[in-house]
Amino acid sequence: MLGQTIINGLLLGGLYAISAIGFSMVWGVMGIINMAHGSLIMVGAYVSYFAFSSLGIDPFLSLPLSMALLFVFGYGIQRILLNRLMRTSLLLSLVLTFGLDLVLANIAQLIFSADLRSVNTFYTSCSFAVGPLLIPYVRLAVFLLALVLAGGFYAFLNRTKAGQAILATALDKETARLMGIDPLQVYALTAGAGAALAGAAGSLASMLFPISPSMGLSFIGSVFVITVLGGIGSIEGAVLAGLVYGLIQSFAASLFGVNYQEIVAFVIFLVILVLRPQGLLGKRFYGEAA
Amino acid sequence: MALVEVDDISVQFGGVTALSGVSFEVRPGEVVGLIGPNGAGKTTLLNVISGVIAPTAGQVRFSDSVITGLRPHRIAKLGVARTFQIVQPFVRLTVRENAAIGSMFSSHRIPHRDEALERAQIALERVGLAAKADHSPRTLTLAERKRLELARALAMNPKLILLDEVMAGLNHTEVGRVVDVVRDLNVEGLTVIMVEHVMKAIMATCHRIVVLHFGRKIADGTPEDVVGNADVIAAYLGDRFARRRHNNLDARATP
Amino acid sequence: MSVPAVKHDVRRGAGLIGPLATATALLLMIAVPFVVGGYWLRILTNIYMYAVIAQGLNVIVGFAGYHAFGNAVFFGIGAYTAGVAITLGAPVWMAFILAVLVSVVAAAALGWPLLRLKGHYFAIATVALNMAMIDLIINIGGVTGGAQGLPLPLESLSPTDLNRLIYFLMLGAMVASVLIVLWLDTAPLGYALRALRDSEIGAEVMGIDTTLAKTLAWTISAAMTGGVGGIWGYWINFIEPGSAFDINLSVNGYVMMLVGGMGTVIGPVIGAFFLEIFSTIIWGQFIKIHLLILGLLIIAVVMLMPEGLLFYAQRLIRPRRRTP
Repeated sequence: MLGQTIINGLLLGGLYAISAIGFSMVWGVMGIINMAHGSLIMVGAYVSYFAFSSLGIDPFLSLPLSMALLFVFGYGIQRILLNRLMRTSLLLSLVLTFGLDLVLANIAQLIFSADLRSVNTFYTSCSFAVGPLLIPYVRLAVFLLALVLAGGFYAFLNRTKAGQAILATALDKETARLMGIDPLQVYALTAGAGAALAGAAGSLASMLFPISPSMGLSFIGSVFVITVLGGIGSIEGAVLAGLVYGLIQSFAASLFGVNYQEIVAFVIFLVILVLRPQGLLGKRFYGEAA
Repeated sequence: MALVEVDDISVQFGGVTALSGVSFEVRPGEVVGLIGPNGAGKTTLLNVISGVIAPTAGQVRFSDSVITGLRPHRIAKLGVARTFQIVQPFVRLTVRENAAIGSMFSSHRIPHRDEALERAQIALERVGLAAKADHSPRTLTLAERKRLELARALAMNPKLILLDEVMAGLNHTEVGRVVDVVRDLNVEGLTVIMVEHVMKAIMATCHRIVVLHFGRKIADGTPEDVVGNADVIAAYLGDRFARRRHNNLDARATP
Repeated sequence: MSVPAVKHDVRRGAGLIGPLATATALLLMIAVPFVVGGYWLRILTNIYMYAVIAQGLNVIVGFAGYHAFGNAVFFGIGAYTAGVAITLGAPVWMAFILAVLVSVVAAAALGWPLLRLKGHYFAIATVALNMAMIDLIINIGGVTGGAQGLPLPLESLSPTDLNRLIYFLMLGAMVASVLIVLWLDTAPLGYALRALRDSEIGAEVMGIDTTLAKTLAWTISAAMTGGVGGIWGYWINFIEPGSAFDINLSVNGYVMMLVGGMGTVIGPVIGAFFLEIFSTIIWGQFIKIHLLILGLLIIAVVMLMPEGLLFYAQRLIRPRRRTP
């Protein structure tokens, strides 16, 4: 029983982690809190759903597709709308992205209606056993993929020129500019990457849960907590926090019942904010100085 | 009897020691200059006195009562005003209102708004900003913003004023203007602690100078004493220069 | 030497509407219930309610600069306090007073840890608080009715009379909120808040007890918001956590405050009128995409006129204003 709770928590934690990394980076690099992040996840989920139900494409294969589409979307929104706001007020970006969230959720509702949809492949309910523990194949695959994506993004940031440009801009915008880096371009790139990761999370989520236009709402809460818990702008932090969060949710569900999950999350959140706002592995980034 | 007693103040930020065992006194009516190379801990010391930072060790006494550990607004109400190195006016208030904040909140009794505004106007006139009283601080030049910082502090009717590099960025004439204002205020009884790099201003106004270097006090005396002090010269200009100068002086002394 | 009077510029003062216009508007508003039908009465009542929520936000956001995105938490607290009080037998007027008092106490208690947080952190903490209250009510259950909701004893008043009563209560609340902000505009507390909004450390070294000032601002904000929450609870007669703590209350209130002009006296009221009427028209014509249009409107407002209607309207009338 205990073992199963731990396994469930960890496997889910992978998904939680990947859902939060993009959000955390955007916040860390630009100081923008993207209230539409949940809806971006939702869009990724629907892309996979659409690909599966209309084109017969397996969700694992449509993952790159949803990532690409969302990259373009995130890049565009940043370039066109949010970059302009960066000069005036960062807090207004919160309001703007909230408006965006409303728009996305309602467009999805118009197109797909509010009904729950699911992506059911032939392997959806198969699992294998390790001793007394039951491990569903899909969950394991999602977990591994999430870690691979996180690792890949980490490598991108630390090993490629573009990634280094992002890190440099996050640390010191002016100096980065002196080095020939265009901060606005970096922001757009970061936003695109963040959206792409959200899309990936959505595609992965579509394999595990039924999806709906309002699923973004159920994600955004946990995304916040994980980001702050792990430290804003820290990928390793988001991964660690995602796993921890998954475990906490799993234990809370089995000990107190599913109803208490949210309260546990929010209490943790408030406690972290007051006691250790930099989270477990937080770094000081642009957004932190605000 | 001293107005301000800085008693063995030390400040540590993580691994960095910003101040180490600094002690000195300021008597009522004195203008004390606080100088030292960059990073010496001068602003940190002002922050400790005004209550913005709590020291790791030591005490600060103002008029014989301990003020370390008090929140800045309490210390302000006791009669301590300060300016900031990086000027931060209240941008959404007018220039006069900026100064009026000082006259409104610096004593335990909050005056009527009109009275506060009048006192603010007087402070503005003192620094020569009366003409811009209804403008937004955003329309002021750097020199004017520095004068606004000063006016805000003056409107508080303080006993002690801490000036943090108020001359930085000002040209020749502007420096002269501020020096005159400080001198006049001092004649009227205001005690001043002045962090400065502009030596001309220091020499023209200070009765005494305290020199900090790497968080320690290395000299404390009249301007003439301090300027000739070997340690001070070494701190600013390096050991070799100091030794050379010392040798030269010796050589000239022996016939 | 005489001191020129401080000119109230567009950020402050009663704005465009002079005393005569205000009196006329008030008279009209008082006459309304006897002239219009139930539909428009309800809309106006909602506008007044939102105006108070927006004014509450104006105090903590516009003046103090603490963006309480989840301020509607006090609306819910007020609603439930009034609801529980009435269920336990208290007279209605006492229920309203309790709604205000409990909200004030909650703000003072929560302010102590939360108002230390800066910028984004504070904003999100208030949202988390808002969400957490929903779950708290659901899990407490008992006298609050939990997830099932709290039905209030049926009113002896006729629907028409009840609607009129609520109309006047909300109107009164709106007038009170405007008077409070008007007072704040020239009171020392108002100056203290504006100062600490621009530079908290600067305010502190000039003698302002920023902790006290912020907390006072939030309690005033909570009192207003909780007050209309209580009235709403009594009106709606059936209180459930999802609607009492609806985050949209905060969002709408925030947008109204932005649209009208934050930090002004009358801006939030104008914003409330504008947004509610706009919403109602859209709802009437395009039920399905109502929220979509709201979302687009929010984006448009933030991108195009973040300073608010009042600011741009003033600019049109007095183009040579040189301020902020």
